[in-house]
Amino acid sequence: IFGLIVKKKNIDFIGKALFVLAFFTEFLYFALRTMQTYQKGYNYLPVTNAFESFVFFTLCLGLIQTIMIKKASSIIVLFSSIIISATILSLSIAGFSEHIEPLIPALKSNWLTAHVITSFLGYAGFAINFIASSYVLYSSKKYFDKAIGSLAFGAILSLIVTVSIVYIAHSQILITGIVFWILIASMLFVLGFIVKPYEKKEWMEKPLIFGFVLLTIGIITGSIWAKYAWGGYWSWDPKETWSFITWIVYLINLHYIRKRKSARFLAYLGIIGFVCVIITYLGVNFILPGLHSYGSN
Amino acid sequence: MGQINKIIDNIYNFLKSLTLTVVLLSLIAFFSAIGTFANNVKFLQNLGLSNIYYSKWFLLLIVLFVVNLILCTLSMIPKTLAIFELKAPNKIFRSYDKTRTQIHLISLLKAKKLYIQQKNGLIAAYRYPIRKFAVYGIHFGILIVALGALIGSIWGFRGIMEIPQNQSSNLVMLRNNYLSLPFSVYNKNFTISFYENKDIPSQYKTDGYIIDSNQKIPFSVTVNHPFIYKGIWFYQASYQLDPHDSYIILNVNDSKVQLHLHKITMVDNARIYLANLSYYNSKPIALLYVALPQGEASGWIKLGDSANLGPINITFSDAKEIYITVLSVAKDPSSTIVSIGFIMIILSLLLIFLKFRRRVYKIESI
Ligand code: HEM
Repeated sequence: IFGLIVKKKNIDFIGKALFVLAFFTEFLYFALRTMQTYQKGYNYLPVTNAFESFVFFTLCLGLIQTIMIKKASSIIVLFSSIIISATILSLSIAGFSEHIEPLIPALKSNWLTAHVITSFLGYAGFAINFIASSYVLYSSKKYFDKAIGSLAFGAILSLIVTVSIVYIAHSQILITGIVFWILIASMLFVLGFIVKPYEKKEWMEKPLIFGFVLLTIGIITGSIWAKYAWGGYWSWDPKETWSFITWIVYLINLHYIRKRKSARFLAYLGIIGFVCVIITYLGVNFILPGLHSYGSN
Repeated sequence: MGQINKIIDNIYNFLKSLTLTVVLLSLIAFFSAIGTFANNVKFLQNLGLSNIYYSKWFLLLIVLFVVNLILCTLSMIPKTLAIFELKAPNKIFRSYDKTRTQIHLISLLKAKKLYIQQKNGLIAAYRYPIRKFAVYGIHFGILIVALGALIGSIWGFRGIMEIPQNQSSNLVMLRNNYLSLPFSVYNKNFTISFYENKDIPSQYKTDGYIIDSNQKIPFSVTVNHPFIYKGIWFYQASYQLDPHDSYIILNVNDSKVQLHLHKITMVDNARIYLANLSYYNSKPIALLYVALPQGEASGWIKLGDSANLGPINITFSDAKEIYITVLSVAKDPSSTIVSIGFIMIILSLLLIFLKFRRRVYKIESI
């Protein structure tokens, strides 16, 4: 899976070809793991614990990217691949349990499988919307926009740098992270003045609509699962609530697309939305307790 | 009169506006977010925000949102219908033989699987006209789900039943009171099964029967597989050790001692206390506290293992674990309505991916 660590490729074609290759490598890995899980007699798709769900997220992002790779701008492909490799790198370092374990009873449900697949595909769509949004802001002439765009890209880049450094030097993850975030963001900010303004909404809209549709289906299948497992469609547990908030932010974004708001405005909404995705996905699993905190070990 | 009409108009315009939608949704999102950490933050608890989702304010926001959604969707209808009114043509053909050209054009458009409409001498061809109705499906679907939630919260209930083994009960504990069912539920047996060689449970299961008048209806519920009787759903939610009936057998210096949960037993000079019973690697384990004149000891012990505590030797030789099953009990008369809403939303959402096209042709004679 380290084949995914494909960095800056100015030569468009090679970069994209490598991306597709990396995607298929990862897909192979996923398929193998699925086979192993079935061989052990546990009979489920390996998407249910923290490690597996991260891998599955990167797989979804890779899949969407691969499908639209011909038309995608290379910036988006580049940053997708950076997100993917950063996630996988942090996974292998953070020491999540890679063991294939059987499922606890509550997680044994086909609705859950449908829920996870659709939600993660949705998140992958939002990730692309996030990259495009950041790019719109980054390339804008306004200082504030550029700063936000730099911070957004800086977050992605510093993730991968931090993870590598923590791996090598075993330094404090939080401090290293923040230092590099600020450092890289300010570097990007300065560099940003050579970028030409980019105001096309296309790369924000399509992934967003795709993401919204899949997230909605994800929430619906999730609540059907909840109905069978706990007796109610909705219980306002923190993860449910945050996915609801995420959904609202993207809902607003979607309606403003229809109202033809400016690309800048939509880009800000896109960034807020993705922050919500991250809170839903990470914050709630590891901080706020609830029905969903399966990721805790 | 004109004044009043104008005010009503303004109110209507405000109620159907997207601005109001965004304000309401932002408020709903904001309060929901606060609700997720209200239980951990004292200050918010003091403000009474820990149960925000069931408060009147939250309900008011949702009601306003529903009104907004209804009005807004209704006000969109004329615009949608206007799409299917034929006015200005996009393309004009000139022909000597109008009817023949027309037949030709129509068969050509039909071959492309387009939807065709003829009116006022104009011909319109649409691709995926249903795409324009997706919005209604989605908005209406949301309304149906909201209606279902309302019905469910008025005529439904959700609670918990705790039934010890070989006993029956008809008492359901709700969030802040209780309810008795018109029949009772008998718990014959609760079992936990484990994966081979792991301490990960694979299934929790309650077998029992419903006692309704003189009938006995057998059932079994497992996690994710509820049992439904007279519109009431029973779910395997949880379980507890039954402190009255659970016991273990210890061999203390070769004499057998029966030890109940949470009860201190004297053996020779030792006081032995069973604090907990559980499973590890599919084997029962017991948490024991032993107090001797010489000192105290405590720890988990596995079935079959022994421990030597100076003057006494303890062997854990048998365990009898009896459980109280905990069932979630819910009645939701709205589940059909909600399902219909869900299906409607999903189907209409998928329509969004289709691409709507429209062309209006006109054929003029030369
Ligand atoms: C939770 C509630 C809502 C959901 C899930 C929802 C969903 C959607 C979706 C998916 C679309 C895109 C449809 C398309 O592209 O054709 C849409 C369009 C639209 N919605 Fe909503 N919406 C909601 C609430 C509202 C409300 C309250 C309003 C009223 C102000 C509203 C006004 C509109 C308008 C004006 C459009 C554009 C229709 C068009 O372009 O023809 N929506 N809605």
